Amino acid sequence: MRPVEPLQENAVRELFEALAATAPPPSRTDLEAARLAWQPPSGRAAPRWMPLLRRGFAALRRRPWVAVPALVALAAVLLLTVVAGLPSFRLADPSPATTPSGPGALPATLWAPPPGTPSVGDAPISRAAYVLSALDGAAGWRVAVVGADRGEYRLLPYGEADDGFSLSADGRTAAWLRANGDGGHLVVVLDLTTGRTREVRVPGQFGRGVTVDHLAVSPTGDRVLLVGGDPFGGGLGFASAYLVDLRSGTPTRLTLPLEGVAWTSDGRPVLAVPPEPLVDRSVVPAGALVAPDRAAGREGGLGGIGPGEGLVVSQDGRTRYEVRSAVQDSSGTVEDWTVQLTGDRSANLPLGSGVQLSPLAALPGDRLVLRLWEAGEIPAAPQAVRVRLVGADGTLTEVSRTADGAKAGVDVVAVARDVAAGGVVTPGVRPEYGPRDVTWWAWYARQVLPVVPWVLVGVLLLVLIVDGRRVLALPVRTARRAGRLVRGHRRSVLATLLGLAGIALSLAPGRVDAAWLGSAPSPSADARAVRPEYLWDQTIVPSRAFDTAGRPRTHAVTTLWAGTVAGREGWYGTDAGTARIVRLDDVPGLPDRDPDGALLRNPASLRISENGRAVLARTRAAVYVIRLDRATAGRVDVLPDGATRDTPLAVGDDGTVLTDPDPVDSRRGSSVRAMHDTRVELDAGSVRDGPYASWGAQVQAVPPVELPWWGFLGWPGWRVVGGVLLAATSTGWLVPFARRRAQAISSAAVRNSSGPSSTEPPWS
Amino acid sequence: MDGDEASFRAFVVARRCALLRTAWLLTGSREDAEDLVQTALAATARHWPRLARSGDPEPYVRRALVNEHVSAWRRRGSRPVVASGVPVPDAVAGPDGVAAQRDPAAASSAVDDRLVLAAALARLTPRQRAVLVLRFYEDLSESQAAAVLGVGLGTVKSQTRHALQRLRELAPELAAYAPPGPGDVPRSAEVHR
Repeated sequence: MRPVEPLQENAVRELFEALAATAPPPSRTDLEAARLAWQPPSGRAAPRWMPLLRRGFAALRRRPWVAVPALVALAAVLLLTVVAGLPSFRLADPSPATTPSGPGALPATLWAPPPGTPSVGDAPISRAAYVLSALDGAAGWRVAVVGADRGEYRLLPYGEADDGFSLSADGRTAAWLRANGDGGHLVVVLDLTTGRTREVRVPGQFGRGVTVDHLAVSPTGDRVLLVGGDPFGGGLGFASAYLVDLRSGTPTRLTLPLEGVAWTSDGRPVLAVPPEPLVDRSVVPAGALVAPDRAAGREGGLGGIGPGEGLVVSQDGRTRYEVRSAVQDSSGTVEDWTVQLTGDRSANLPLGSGVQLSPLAALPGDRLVLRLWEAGEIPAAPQAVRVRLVGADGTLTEVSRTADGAKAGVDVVAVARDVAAGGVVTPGVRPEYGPRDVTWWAWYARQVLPVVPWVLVGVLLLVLIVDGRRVLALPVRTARRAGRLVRGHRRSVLATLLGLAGIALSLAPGRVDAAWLGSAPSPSADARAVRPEYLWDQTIVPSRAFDTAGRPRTHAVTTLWAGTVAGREGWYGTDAGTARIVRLDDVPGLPDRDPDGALLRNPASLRISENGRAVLARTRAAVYVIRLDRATAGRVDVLPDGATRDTPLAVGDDGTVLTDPDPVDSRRGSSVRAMHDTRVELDAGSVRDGPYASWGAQVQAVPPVELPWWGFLGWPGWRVVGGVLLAATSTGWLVPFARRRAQAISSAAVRNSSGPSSTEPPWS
Repeated sequence: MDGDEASFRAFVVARRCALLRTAWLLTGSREDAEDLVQTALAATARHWPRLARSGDPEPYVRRALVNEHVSAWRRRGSRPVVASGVPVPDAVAGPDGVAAQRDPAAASSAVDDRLVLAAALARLTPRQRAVLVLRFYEDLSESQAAAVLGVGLGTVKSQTRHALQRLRELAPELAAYAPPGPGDVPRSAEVHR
């Protein structure tokens, strides 16, 4: 760096001083400047929000009748919202819920859940022992669960139209029915350990929902069995069974017609078939649960839904317990009750007297959990409820009873079978909540919050009445300004909107496909296979078993057929892990036609290997083997020794072609059992019966897969549409820009060619 | 009128003229200079009791002046454009208008130099202008200028060097006051900026 020489520095300084000496005189005097600086005319620097605040206060002073109610309503809404949401922070209880240890315990005394009881969403619990319902004069029924580890009470998100509560054997999952707008039911499944609920709809024909009569949660809470009817479906007048796999949310119609469902202790669903005229009642299988005898009028509790309707079976399926009364009516009179054992053991045990008695669960060792409505002073009045355990020898042991102060409408709806089987009974913890509890305040805030919209409507009406013209003028003025703004920049606004739409449409297919696949549960190696016996017809859009790069998404299938799904002919199967329908025929390397020109999408036979990972497709001219786990396909040139073109073929787990030792009966077409079997079981474990395949003619339907409303954006054509829009918009922006730029360049060229003016100073 | 206001008024009366000259060098416009000084004085008035107790409020005022000048330039979003062929209005003649009458040749040369300097200053960046004004008009040392500008000493040195170099490029007539050294290489990017 070259420092400035002192002499030169002084010269520059002189020049600056000479220049400063030419400074013009100021327009105001020093005293005036000092006065203005000391007291600025606009006051001290104020924040930008201050004028707004001042205007707000001015408006408040001008219109107190309008502003004060509005402010009070706003403050009330904010306060109520904060108070109502406080329990969601879960300040008092640990989250997630504690892990249960041991068998759990049944509380000996049961109380009605008081106001202030937290909901499961606010404070999850580890597992429940009971589901209780209590008559609430103001809000109808109040449904709660009682914890099996700490005896705590938690409310369920229960609606007025909800019904049919069921508790899984481990007490960690509850499910019930909720009326849907289309006349069918939604199945609400609640995970008690997290407080999260989900709703599963079982669609029937013409998009109408299925009416569910019974439901049973599997012991581990990952599946739900339903018995219901589709008023527009096949088998009019008879119920059907549906298995809902909660991992995928896919309901699968199992067979028809049925009346009852149950789960065995090892997690196998058992379906009961109806009595005459379809089959003889005497062959109703052991291990099944049949529907209540509605004609006998033994419905009770929350609408007569659930397994406690009069008949249950032991967990090993060898003994049936049927609770009966001497008098077949439901007039509320005291009756004598007995339980009749049939099957391996036959007995008729007295259960005492009561207004109503029904079984809740069958326990190992021929034990039975019963719910008894006790006889009271006034027969028609609500009675106390006792829960009793009936031993194999007929001994009655009282487990739980409602407290004297909780007589009013408290009922036991369901019990956790594993907890009851443990046989541990604790005194129980009385639920008490007061102003010191956050949940107590939240309770009342939530009671008041539904009224808030009406309060706001009232305030709005008041404002309109008092100051209607001014209030209405504001949105009109704003709309006019916006309109002027848009009109002034019409082309720009249109081009911007179209450009944004083009970008969105270009990106949509990839994003939607990924989002949809991401929302679907991915199959895991230990996922148990679900093999539907009958598949019901619905409109679905199956996802591909392989992505566009040839990577497998589905590693194994449990069913396979060639048919038409969503208007497309091809091969389809059910994923072994998720039970979702997947498309299999577009595996890389598989030709469209065989050497004879026959379409491969309509093969002569399809077989799958024992492990579901290899598929054999056969036409008249060729045999192809597809490895699902590798996403590869190849033509088989050499058949097994001795095999001819008519020899039935099968495929091994490693993709080798075998001679089929047990060919599929072509008359039946598949290994799907006949619908009127006297015993129908769903194989919920591994595929035991060997490979099978079905053809399009035999496939009645496929399970529905709910496509989200934004699913239409997954159409690949949107990329093209978006690209066209984007190109058009870009052209619309670029052309005027380029035109202006060209004009600027030409103007500059003209100026430069004219040269500097002779009067211009040299520094310009 | 309290004591603080009286002392502030005395300070303004005593120093406003000098501040206006500095501001005029910074802005090149009488209106802008007055606004700049008034803004700096208003900012000073807000803290006057504390500044008065410190004994020397002028550095604060000068710093407020320079900072407000740079901030105003930034707020405008672009540099002021000096139209070609239009002389700096206030610099055509001195305030008395008689400088050119005593010695016509010398006066003409002095006026030319002032015009050239004013035009060249107008094309400097505000920070470069501020550095030159503080260093060569306010006669501050490099460290004092760094304190007023709120920058480091090295920044002041480099800004001074760049400002002088730019002056030479913009106004070759001023080379006599600050001839180029062997290390100075004109930067074409700055020349055509």
